Amino acid sequence: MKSQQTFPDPGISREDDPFESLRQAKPSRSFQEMAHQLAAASEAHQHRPRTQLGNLAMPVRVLLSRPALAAYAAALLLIGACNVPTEYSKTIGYSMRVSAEGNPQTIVEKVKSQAGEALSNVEVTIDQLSDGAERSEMLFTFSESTIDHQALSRQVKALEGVQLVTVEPIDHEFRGNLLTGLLHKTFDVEINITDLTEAQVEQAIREELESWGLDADVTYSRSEDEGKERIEIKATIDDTTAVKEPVRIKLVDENNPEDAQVKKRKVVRKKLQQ
Amino acid sequence: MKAEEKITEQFLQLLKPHYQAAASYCRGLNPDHHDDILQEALLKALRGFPSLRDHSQFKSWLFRIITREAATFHRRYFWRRFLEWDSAQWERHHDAVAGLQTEELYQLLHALDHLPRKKRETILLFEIGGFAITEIAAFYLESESAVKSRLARTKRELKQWLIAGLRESTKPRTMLEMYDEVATDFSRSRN
Repeated sequence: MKSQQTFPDPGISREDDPFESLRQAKPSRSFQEMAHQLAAASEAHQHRPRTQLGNLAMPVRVLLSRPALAAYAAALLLIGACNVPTEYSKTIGYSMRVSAEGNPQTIVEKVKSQAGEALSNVEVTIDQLSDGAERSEMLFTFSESTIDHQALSRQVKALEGVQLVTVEPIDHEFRGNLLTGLLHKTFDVEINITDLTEAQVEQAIREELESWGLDADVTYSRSEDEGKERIEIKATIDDTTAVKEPVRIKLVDENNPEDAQVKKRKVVRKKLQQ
Repeated sequence: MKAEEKITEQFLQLLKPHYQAAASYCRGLNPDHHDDILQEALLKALRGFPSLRDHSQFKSWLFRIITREAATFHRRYFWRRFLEWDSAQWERHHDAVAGLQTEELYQLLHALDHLPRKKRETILLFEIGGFAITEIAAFYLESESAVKSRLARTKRELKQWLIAGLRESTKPRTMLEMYDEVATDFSRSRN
């Protein structure tokens, strides 16, 4: 007997072949059923429409059936995206031109209160007309692209004396790679300006940028504007520097907690005159 | 009769004697999705049948397609594990697995499930497909001795898993099964 032959080694004790149950297992579909389905499928396959989408589906199927290959292809794509240089345009803010009659003070105040920190610059020109009336032209510059400029322009249009409101996006060309283009990644530089004079802040910004390989001309000014502190930074960076992402400078003042909200300013990258 | 119909008929004639073995082979490779694998493999085989010149090689050609299809299905299953199954799907799956088999078949499939894919393929080709060692060696482009030693190792592993399965089984054991259990314990205690 088979079991006696295997003793005392552990073995399969059944007299039957263990594979016999699998050999005898009834298929889920009988041969006739399967034959019928195969014939029908073959017929349908011959008359199937050949589409461009069908051709595209093939590589997708190959990738789906090979997870390791799919991961490898994804890694290659990512590396490629990090190395392919590209230029891309992004809206970095808006400019709003307003024409109005009379005193522009109300309009400026309204826009300032609505836009908050997003308002980076205001230019006002007042013309004296021959009949003695005043006509003002205002140019508001918003440094944030996320501002709801449409709602703001509607509110300004509704103000008394406003004749014309036009809003235009401020686009900027950036150079980077495909990945930064997709993510629009910014290069952040944080500088602590606690107890520093204007000249020292200017120097600190310059040094910090230099440490990152960014050769920049920096001017920094702080002024009181109707009781509110106004900080202005102008930095021009050589476009040939190593860092290609848009630069964002953050200033932190620990002595002024209310104002210690991190100030963010995008530095416009400009090509230096040869 | 159209040329395509002739080809299909010829294919089905050649398939008929091997259908049972092919279905069992699929079941052994993947008990959960054997029917899908079999259908997909047979469809591929039918489409590729005109390219098969030597019809005497039909069986090994068919089993090669099934083996490849099972491997593809296994790889494709990698993505499915990220998809959540609903309870109805689980029930259907459970019914399909639980309802199909006898206790012996369940034990065998459970034991086969513990084997690596290549070992499982080799033993199934040998036991279910009825292929000779020479044919299996040609199948994997390996030497006969490599196939022989793999088969021997696989059989040993399978025996251990079958015995472990029998111990866990709720089915009343036969005298022979109990006898073997005692023999196993005896040999373990000596080691």
